[in-house]
Amino acid sequence: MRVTLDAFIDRAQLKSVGSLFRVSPDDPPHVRRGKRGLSVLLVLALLGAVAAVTALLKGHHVMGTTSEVSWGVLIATYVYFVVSSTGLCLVSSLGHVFGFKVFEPIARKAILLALVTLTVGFTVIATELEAPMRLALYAVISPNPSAPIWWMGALYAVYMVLIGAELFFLFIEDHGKAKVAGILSVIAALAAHSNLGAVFGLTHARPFWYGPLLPVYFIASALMCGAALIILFVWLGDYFGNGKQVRPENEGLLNVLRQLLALFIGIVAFFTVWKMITGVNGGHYHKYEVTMASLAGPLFFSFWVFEVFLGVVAPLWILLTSARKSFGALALAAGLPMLAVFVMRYNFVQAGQMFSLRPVHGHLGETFHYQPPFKGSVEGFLPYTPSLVEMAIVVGAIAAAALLYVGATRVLRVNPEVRHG
Amino acid sequence: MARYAMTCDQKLCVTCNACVLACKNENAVPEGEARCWTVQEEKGAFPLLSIATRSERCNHCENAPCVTACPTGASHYEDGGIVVVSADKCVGCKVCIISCPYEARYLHPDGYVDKCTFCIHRVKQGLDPACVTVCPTGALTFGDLDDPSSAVHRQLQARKAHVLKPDEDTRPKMFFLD
Amino acid sequence: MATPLNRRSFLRISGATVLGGLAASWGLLPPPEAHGAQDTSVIPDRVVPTLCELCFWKCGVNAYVKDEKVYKLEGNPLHPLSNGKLCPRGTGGGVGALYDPDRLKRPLIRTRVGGEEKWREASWDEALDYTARRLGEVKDKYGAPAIALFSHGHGGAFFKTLLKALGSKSIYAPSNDQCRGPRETGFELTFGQALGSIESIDTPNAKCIAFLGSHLGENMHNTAVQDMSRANANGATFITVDPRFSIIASKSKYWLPIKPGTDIALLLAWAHVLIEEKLYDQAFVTQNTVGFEQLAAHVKDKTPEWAYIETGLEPQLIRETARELAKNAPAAFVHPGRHVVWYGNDTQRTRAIAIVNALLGNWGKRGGFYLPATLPVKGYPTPDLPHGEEAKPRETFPFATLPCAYDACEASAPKDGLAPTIRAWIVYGCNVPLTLPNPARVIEVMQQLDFVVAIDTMPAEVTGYADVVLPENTYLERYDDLDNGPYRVPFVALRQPAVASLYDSKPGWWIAKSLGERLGVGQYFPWKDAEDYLKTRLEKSGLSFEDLKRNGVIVGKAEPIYDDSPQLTFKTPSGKVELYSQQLADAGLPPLPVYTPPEEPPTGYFRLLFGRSPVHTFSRTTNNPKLLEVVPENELWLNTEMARQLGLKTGDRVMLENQDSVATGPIRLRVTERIRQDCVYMVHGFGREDARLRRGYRKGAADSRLITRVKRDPEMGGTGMNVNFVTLYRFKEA
Ligand SMILES: Nc1nc2c(c(=O)[nH]1)N[C@H]1C(S)=C(S)[C@@H](COP(=O)(O)OP(=O)(O)OC[C@H]3O[C@@H](n4cnc5c(=O)[nH]c(N)nc54)[C@H](O)[C@@H]3O)O[C@H]1N2
Ligand SMILES: Nc1nc2c(c(=O)[nH]1)N[C@H]1C(S)=C(S)[C@@H](COP(=O)(O)OP(=O)(O)OC[C@H]3O[C@@H](n4cnc5c(=O)[nH]c(N)nc54)[C@H](O)[C@@H]3O)O[C@H]1N2
Ligand code: SF4
Ligand code: SF4
Ligand code: SF4
Ligand code: SF4
Ligand code: SF4
Ligand SMILES: [Mo]
Repeated sequence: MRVTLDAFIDRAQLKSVGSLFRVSPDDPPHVRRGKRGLSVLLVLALLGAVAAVTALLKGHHVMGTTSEVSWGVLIATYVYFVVSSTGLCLVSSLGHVFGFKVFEPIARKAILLALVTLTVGFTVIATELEAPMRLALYAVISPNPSAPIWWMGALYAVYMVLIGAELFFLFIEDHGKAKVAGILSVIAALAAHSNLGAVFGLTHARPFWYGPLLPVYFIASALMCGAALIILFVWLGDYFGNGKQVRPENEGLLNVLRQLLALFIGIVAFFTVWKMITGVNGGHYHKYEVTMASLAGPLFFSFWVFEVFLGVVAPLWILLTSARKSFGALALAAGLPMLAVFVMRYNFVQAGQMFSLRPVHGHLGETFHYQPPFKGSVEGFLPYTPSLVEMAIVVGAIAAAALLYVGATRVLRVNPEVRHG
Repeated sequence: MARYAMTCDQKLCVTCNACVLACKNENAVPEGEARCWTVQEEKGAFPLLSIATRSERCNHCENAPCVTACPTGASHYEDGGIVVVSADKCVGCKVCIISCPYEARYLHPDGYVDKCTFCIHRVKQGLDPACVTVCPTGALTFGDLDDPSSAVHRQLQARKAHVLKPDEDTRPKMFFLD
Repeated sequence: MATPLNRRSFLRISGATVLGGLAASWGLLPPPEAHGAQDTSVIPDRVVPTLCELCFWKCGVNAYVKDEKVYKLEGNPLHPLSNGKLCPRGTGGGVGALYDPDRLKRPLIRTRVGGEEKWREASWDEALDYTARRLGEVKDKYGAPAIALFSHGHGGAFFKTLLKALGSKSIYAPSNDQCRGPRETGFELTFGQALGSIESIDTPNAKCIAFLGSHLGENMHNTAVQDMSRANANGATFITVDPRFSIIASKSKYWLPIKPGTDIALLLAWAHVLIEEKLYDQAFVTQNTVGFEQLAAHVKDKTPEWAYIETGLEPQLIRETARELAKNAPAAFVHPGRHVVWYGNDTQRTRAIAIVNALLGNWGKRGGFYLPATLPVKGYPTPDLPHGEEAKPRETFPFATLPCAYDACEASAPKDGLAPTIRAWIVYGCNVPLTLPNPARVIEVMQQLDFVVAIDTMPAEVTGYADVVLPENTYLERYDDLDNGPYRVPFVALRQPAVASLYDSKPGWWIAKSLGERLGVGQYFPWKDAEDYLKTRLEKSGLSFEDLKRNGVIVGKAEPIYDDSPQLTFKTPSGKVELYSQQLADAGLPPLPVYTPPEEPPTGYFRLLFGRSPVHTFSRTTNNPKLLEVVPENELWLNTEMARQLGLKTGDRVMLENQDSVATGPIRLRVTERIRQDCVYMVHGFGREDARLRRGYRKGAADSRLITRVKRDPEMGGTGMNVNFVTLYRFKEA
């Protein structure tokens, strides 16, 4: 069969894409609010773009990172986005790969969002690198296969191609090929993602990260994000596109996702608990310090309030109570973890670096006096606060992802029925 | 093939930092960063005290996590096992900084990661590294581990020495004579 | 800071925009700066051997110059004081001093605009004319001796000539009565000979050394540390007597954590043990000393048990260490110290040190005190200098080898309203407000003077109170007079410019000469310029200026520096080592060192002790960009238990207040086991108060400000400065 551009793009919508931001008198109030929201996102995205270019020009000179804390919020953001991408790919594959019917309607949107988040994630990491150009070049002409970070890059590149293909076949309704591409991208997703875990998990120098469980943990949290994001975009789509009402055909899907999300949150919580327990009892100097920083130190607030309460307790509670009756509550229960996961990523990246690897006190009561003087505090704590540029990039990236998704769902034929009906 | 190594005699070192400053000039190390540093490791309680005094730097590990982790091979082993960063291949991903158990690396303002090179440019000319040359107490010695006639070889034969964080299994080539 | 448009940035843009493609080829090129330091070395345009001036030891350094920029300094392997090695200040500080952006760049004249005082930049002609006129006025009105010179450092020589030419012998230095004056007096009284700036001790060959204070390793005189380290490597036994566990203490077999101010008790007990146990060198003592009987009687009851009460040191430890010294004699000595102005009994303490050394019979012996050699260099032919006079000081001291800076200060503005005998100061390379005791008083005095001219390289505190400030070139931009030891090998060394003067600053010789000509004593500066001066001196002495310029140093042929003959001669009145000093007796001073217990700190107070950081030289480096990177501020050392009681911890910032309720700070706390409970310790030179010193301004605190009290040394007038007590409290951010 012949593939035309119309298989993908709805030309009418393409012309009227501006109406996404144009508030018209006959819009119901919640739609007006939505449109104004989009305009705000647009502004944020543009600011983010400016920040990104600044970062690419000036590198670490405009970053809050230091030679001691050299990975900052941008790394966390990158991880946040690729985890989301992976999650979307995995969860949505339940439909067109593993044949759970309820998931099929959202396949295109899910993969589309996976592609968007991955692209945005790559852009963010590019701004974090000192010379992204050189990476593009030397990762190819002088690769180092022993480096997890190299594999991560390579595998995510493959993964990107595969989900691209998957999306393509979904659009042209070639479900056979789509399934094959789907299977491959699931494998790529798992490989790439566990490698991302390995980038941290294999750094023996950083006891807080080091360990075989990390890759698994990364997959678990990916699934959590995948489920949460699908809930969010389905609900938002209906909220604005269907007069605040969830379309009947989506109800089944949302109910399944409600249960999955609860399960995934449980698993992530399980990992977190054990990480903390081993951290406190493992008796390892560096790991202990860092764990205590989360439980009772500098990370206290973001750990207990965000990771624990907003990330686990609150959503689980909602999921098991009001979310059963109200989809609005369900959306909230999906939104909270997405917020929490960002903080989680940030804490995770910081925790591995926040204490100097040069000891200040030894196990046998030695004290170490360094010159040139130790850059952190007397206790060996290394400070880091993201710069404005970094923060602008983060906010801009999230805004851009949302916009791209909304725009794309508007002009692309993401709903199979749009073509038939 | 030589296996270059350095020793710091903790009996002689007075942590004067001449090595640090000589290095900064020799290698145009940017302000606020240093390729080597000194440590006074204080033990005991008044009046039964002891201090281990030493000058630390990149250990030019034989099993260097920074080299393993570098995606582009910018961090690599040079002849003689000296671990060097090729600035032109460095993309600034900083995973090497993250992987080094000794915090021996820093991000150079010009956008690449830098660290002690064992003054390879001097070694190639048959000179000692700048820090070794300047050291007023003669605490530092540089040479080829595999050459039985080298001072480092003989010192390590004759005296007890230790490396930093042996549990990291990095096999450092910076030795501290006790 | 990288500018947005260097290649790296370009790479980034292209990298961000056109992934892959042509721009990739740029990626192949290294960033321009990258390689300089990486694996290719800089080829210098020239290497200039000269002399370091970061302190007063004058090591030979080789300055590496590229594109008229000094980019590194290495020790001159030919120079006997460097042996190719340098201390941290010499290797890092030189470049820092040369390129310190805060340097004095132009002559300055103080002018009063309305009520307020202002600096006005002036031409050299104007500044010199003005200075000459003002000095001339003082000379005519009050006589030449009313003009005083405070000088420390190499270039001072030319200003001493200037002063003598004018007929003034009012020449002072904080390196005398604030430094080693008492030691020189103590050794002259005992051995008839001072030890000089490069102490004539044969450290590398010693088998046992006792250090009283003398914190080598922190005190970083290059050769002194090299020698100490050689002895250490050769397995010599070190005995360190110090209330603080100094670096040298950590290298020592014995650490004696003595109660501050009680060293004489220890020394007398050592003498007691050496005599009671017949461990002293009887041959040497009988043939070369006088007064042994009196000494023996004097120390009869100075048992280690007695000393224990005073010093807090275990009698057994005192005995063992005395025996250790004796066992290794004559290749053993008690280090004479250098900064010895501690408690005002310092000549007597150094006498006691000299006496114990005499008992060890180590004079002129390998591993003891060597007999230094000098390479004689002729002077430049000039008319004989007038037989000038010294301004009448407020107080005089019978055995002062040099007049005291402290008294000169007092004589410049007497508290009792008497007429000052000094009216004008020329200050060369001395930051007197930080290096004379009690800055407040020094400043008060400077403000009452008719005229002050400061010759300096930095806007140091002293320049803030001068009427004229003359910027000297740093040592890397100038010639200076020759340096010829004395040392264990005879040598003569040259300071010569490595690069042209960066600013409108001038060398000291030129400034002194120009002032001399304006003051009508040009005939004492007959030479055309420094090259002519140096060339002539060398050629008259049969040495080649060219060789010296090329190598930086000429080493003469070694002479014997030991004398093993049983009978030695000493330049004392008796011709022998004077254990008992008739000279002191005649002056009504104790002929044998008497121990008197130090004043106890009031409750809640600690004795304030101070010393050196290996990376800094007093206040001369505490704005040095390179050196401040390594040691950015000083810390106050406080004993752990005391800190616990005060509820303070390392890193806390505290204020210090002394017995006269003079407060200063804040200073960061270093809580440590490495110091006794009755004292605190800090490094001297920090706490700069002149805001023109942008880096060092208010970093750390100044011990000087807390030294409002001194105990004068009755023999030579040294200002004992370890007699101040401080209490501390947490600093509250305003
Ligand atoms: N890096 C560096 N080196 C220098 C200098 C410099 O500025 N910087 N200056 C040079 C000059 S000019 C001089 S004079 C010397 C000075 O250096 P030194 O001659 O070594 O000076 P001290 O005052 O003997 O040393 C201070 C030590 O004496 C201890 N101390 C204090 N009170 C007592 C006491 O009552 N008894 C005993 N036994 N010890 C005590 C202190 O704890 C401290 O450890 O250093 C020279 N070397
Ligand atoms: N409180 C306290 N006082 C002390 C001491 C202490 O430890 N504590 N130490 C004492 C001792 S041991 C000594 S030797 C004296 C030292 O006393 P000073 O010799 O006065 O010590 P510095 O602080 O080195 O003063 C050097 C001054 O010379 C300037 N200078 C540096 N290089 C040059 C140059 O090339 N040319 C010229 N013209 N000026 C230059 C510097 O900027 C600084 O202002 O201090 C004594 N005073
Ligand atoms: S120069 Fe030598 S003595 Fe000084 S810190 Fe370095 S190694 Fe130690
Ligand atoms: S010390 Fe650190 S930087 Fe040096 S080789 Fe080992 S891992 Fe690499
Ligand atoms: S920062 Fe440079 S040297 Fe370090 S790992 Fe990345 S590319 Fe390699
Ligand atoms: S070997 Fe060279 S680069 Fe390494 S610390 Fe010493 S001077 Fe610096
Ligand atoms: S001891 Fe250090 S500062 Fe003093 S002259 Fe020698 S090198 Fe320079
Ligand atoms: Mo001194």
